[in-house]
Amino acid sequence: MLPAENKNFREEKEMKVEKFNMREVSKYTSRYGIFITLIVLVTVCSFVSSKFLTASNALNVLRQTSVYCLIALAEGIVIISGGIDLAAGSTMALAGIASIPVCVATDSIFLGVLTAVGVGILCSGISGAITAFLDMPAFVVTLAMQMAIRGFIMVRTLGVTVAKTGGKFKILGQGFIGGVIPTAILVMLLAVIAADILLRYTRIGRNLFALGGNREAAFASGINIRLYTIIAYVISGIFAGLAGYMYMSRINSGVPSGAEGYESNGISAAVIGGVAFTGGSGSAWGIMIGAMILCIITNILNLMGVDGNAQKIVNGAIIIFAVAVDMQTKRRR
Amino acid sequence: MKEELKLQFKNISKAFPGVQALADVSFDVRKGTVHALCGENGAGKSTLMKILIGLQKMDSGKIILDGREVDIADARTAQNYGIAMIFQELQVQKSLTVMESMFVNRLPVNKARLVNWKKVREDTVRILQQEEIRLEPDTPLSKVSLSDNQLLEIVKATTNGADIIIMDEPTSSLTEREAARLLEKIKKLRTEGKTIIYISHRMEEIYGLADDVTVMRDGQFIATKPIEEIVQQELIRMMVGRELTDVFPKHTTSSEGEILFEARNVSFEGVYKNVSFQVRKNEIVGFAGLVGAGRTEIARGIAGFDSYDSGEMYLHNEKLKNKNVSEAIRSGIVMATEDRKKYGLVLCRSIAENISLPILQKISRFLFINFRKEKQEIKVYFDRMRVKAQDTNTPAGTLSGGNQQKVVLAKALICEPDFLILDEPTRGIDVGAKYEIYNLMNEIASQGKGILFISSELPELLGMCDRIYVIHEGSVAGEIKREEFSQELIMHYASGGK
Repeated sequence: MLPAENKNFREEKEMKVEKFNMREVSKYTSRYGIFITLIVLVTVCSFVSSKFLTASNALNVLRQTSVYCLIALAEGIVIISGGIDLAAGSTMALAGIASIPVCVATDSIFLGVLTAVGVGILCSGISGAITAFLDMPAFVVTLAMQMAIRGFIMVRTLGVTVAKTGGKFKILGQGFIGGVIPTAILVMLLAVIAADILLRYTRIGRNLFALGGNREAAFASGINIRLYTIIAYVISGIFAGLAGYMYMSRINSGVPSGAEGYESNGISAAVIGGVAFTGGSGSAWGIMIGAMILCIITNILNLMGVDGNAQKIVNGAIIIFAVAVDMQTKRRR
Repeated sequence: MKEELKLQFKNISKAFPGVQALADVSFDVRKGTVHALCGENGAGKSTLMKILIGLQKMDSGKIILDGREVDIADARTAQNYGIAMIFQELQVQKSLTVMESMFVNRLPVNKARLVNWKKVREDTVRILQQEEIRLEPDTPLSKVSLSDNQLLEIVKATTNGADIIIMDEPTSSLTEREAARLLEKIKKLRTEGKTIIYISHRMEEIYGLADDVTVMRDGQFIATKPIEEIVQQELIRMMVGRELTDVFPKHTTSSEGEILFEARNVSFEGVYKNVSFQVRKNEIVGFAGLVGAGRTEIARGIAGFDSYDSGEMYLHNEKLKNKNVSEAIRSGIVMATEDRKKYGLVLCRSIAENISLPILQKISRFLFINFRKEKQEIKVYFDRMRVKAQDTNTPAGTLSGGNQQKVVLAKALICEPDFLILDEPTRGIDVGAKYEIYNLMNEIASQGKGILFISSELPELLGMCDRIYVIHEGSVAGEIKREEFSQELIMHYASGGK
């Protein structure tokens, strides 16, 4: 081979290597971007408030994250599959309240959780079935369900808080394992692992991604899109029901107006955590980090003494920011 | 005979990335005539008309209107010059009522600068009576038939002051009676001194209506002639004229193999009727026809995308009841759709996930995907299709059109179909990729499978197929064997000839 040719060849190869690296770098920043955001946020917050990194505050944040993360998983899964659930907050409340009498009567945490999950499946399943079979926009269906479920709670409880919760109801929300690790965090981790397995290792997960990414293409690939729309909502209902149980268990009472607006927390956390609002992409661990980021921001605003209503303004801005970043990265592709 | 020139195209050229859509096109349109514009799909007719109505800019050339050069910068300018187009796929705003649509953009106002609805109503009623269109001013357009909508568009254009009216295959979706009414209307417009540019593939219409005919081919002007001076055979030859310069790798075939797939009198109300055809093993069978003739719709019925009303389909002599796509795939029929982005791929997901999507059930134990098996399967088809991508984790949306098409094909082949339907598999991809796809088709056919090949490019059909069925208005208009292949014969059947 002539030397000149050799040189050319080498140059070409080097260029390829460089290109390859750039690609890898951008791949890693997009994959671990929110993780980096989380670390930066924790660092900044620790400077802003000296209380932030104390053990008690950290535990508080993590416990709050548990509920946020569960509802974000519920929202994340429907959003990934191309839908949305605006009834998630109401579903949480109904599931939590319904589980209390069961827990009291049977003295079993398991049956209480099962009840909450069952209610979640029922509520979200109805939304899913209406969306799938009547070809209605999920936005409208779940908005109507939000009102209907909340109305149902008020009718049944007459707006009175369920205070008799027995001895066991509060354990999952307030308890510790081995006196150190809050049970709430364990529940969250188990849920995230389950969701991660579902999304990445099963064909249900693949089909949900396909459904949200391109409904027509999913149809043309032989996926029963009605069935999978319902499956998405049913799975979402499991997490919403669990979120409801954890929410009520943490405050150890059944508040009829509880979890109001939690659907927007869930949507925010999911989108911050990398779930594409247009459907088709996202991950369970990302959703968990999104929930953490949201909780840390709420927490630091509390520590700084920012008033609750002003916090809502910040939350609104965060949603817009997160979606804008998502759209920008897509456009660049 | 009127010799006054209404419109002159002078040396018009227009290039799109990779394609010379129009090359130095010049011809004249006489005032008060119906001027037919003919040519195959992709000949450049639509591009030329889009330039005329200001939807596209030409790269070079002149448009001369009534003897003066005009610069048609946008749709509004075209409207001001009195040029209107009635599109093939009418884009009406279905929520408007007849009278709202009639006066859209020019609603009369009263002294208070509010819309004078009384006047709108009166004028609409007057115009409807004048034109003998039996419609109420308050009827929403969604309830108005396509035929009436077309007439409304024409009336709207003329009351708006249009004197050049372009019609793009206006009768393609009309019943015979509706078409007759439209043709009468066009003749009436001509007697009123309007100039009509009429795009059509239907010979009988062209010969019954046109004064002059211009033929275009591959973006070039071929000829303009008075209709009396050209016979139908010659016109068709001018339209398709090009020799088959493309090279097609031809497989050796026997059209005498056993029957693989058969459709018997399959009908779908209002879409296709009594469709019967056969595909043998080792055979590539073409579906030719004009856009909108129903080729894709028939294929969708076979592949389980839509249901059909009556008729039977057989694969390996077994009656099929493909209620949905997954049943069709399981029975051995797979369709690679023409619309890659809509029906083909989930663009935000990886190549691998796209390819394995239809066979997830097969490679899963209970719900869990067997990743090793998946990887093996994907690799076979990824390599076989020679998809140009770093690896199978690349998002499908980042690939070029040709490579996306290869992924679509890989996705179809991984189902191991016995009968493969390819709808416009080479649309919008470069020559090299086309050639690879042709080779692949031959390879598949030689393995005892059958292919139904839908294409709007005649040379490709003639080069690849063993037999061709021509579809015209939802029915099989003719079957052509390889020995009898000619573009003229296909165009003859496709434009409704017997």
